[in-house]
Amino acid sequence: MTALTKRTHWIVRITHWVTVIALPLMIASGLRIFNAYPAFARKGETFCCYPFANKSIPAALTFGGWLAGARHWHFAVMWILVVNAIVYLGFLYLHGEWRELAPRRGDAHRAWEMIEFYLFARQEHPRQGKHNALQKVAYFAMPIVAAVIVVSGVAIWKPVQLRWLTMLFGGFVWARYVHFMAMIVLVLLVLVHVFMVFAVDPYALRSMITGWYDADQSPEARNARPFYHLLPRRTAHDVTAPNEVEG
Amino acid sequence: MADSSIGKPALIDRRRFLAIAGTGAAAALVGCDSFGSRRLEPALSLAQRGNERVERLLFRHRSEDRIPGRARLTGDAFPQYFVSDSVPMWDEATRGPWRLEVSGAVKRPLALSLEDLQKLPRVAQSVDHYCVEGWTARAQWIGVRVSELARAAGITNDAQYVDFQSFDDDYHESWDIDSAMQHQKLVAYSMDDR
Repeated sequence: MTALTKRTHWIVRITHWVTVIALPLMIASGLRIFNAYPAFARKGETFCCYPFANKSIPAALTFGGWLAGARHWHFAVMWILVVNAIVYLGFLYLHGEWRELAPRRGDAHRAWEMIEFYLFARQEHPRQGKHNALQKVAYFAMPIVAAVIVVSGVAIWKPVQLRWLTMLFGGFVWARYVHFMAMIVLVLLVLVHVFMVFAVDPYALRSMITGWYDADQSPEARNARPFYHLLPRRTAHDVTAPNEVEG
Repeated sequence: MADSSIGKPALIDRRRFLAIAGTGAAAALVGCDSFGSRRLEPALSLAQRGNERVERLLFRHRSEDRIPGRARLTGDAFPQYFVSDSVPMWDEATRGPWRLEVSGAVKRPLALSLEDLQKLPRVAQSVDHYCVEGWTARAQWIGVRVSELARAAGITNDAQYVDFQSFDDDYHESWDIDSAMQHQKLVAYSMDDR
């Protein structure tokens, strides 16, 4: 018997999978635009903080074919992502689910406990709610990083008309750098997220598709680290009380 | 450097050989080749038209590019563009004296020689150049306002886009009329006093 609960609201599921499709398009088309000038320095000057200047991004990671084609995609897909984000964040706010992501007192301590657990410095999986403390950090950071990407993107879109905004980032060169580096941060968060889904909690895939989650197979219940205790746990009431379902 | 001796005259030449046509650019814009499925092109051009509308709604085209007086100009590092494989030169022997043609959605099509251009009200300005490719550079430009040329040619009310055509392998670039009429948009005949 399993402890199936409805865990992921359909709005979260839809906005999640829209992001899965749209975000790679946005990043790949952005990288194709970047390849038109794969550096940050103002012409005739140098830039402190990008060691790969004038090295193109491999074509396989880009999308759009050429500068104008990539811009077409970038400026079309951005609307999908912005509307998607408004729907997602609006839902979190109206439905109260932001409480599961907002930082709370003790989260830093709990995040440290998670790190200790993953590093085998601790035997038992820390107690957690819907997400563990590291997940909370990641899911809370993602919309913030995304907002930085949107605002810096607006700043490099109209550096003359929105000069004040561009100046807020330290000028066009820095706004472009922030736009790029925030994308890198978002990509790293996404890569860790996807890795952890498959290495720790593949059962979460089900809840992101159907909404249903088997609490008996949660990482906490399985005491799961990456690639440890991946398989379904035989629970006590599998053996003794097959009809007992916890609420 | 060998480059600069070839590059300098060519740069001036390319800027000299601009032609302005008021219409036809709309079709060229929408026809822009986009990558990906052909079936998605209507969606992409819908987004593009929507974005144009958003821009018109948000911006009044009175914004000005101001740079600090002490700002250093980019000089020779200012990118120079050629579409053709060799440096394009206007051959007067075969093509006659060069003229800037202004045609399309205008009442009085113009064909201006460089001297004609230089007689029109001249504007000198140092501005930041924000290229669509992502780089920026600063230069001082002297030239004629695009709006001045439009006035001289008697632009008609239905003009929506300006297409700038180069003799360099049919290179052309187009702009919406509001952007082109902004007072800092020049057809330049001098860069950094050259």
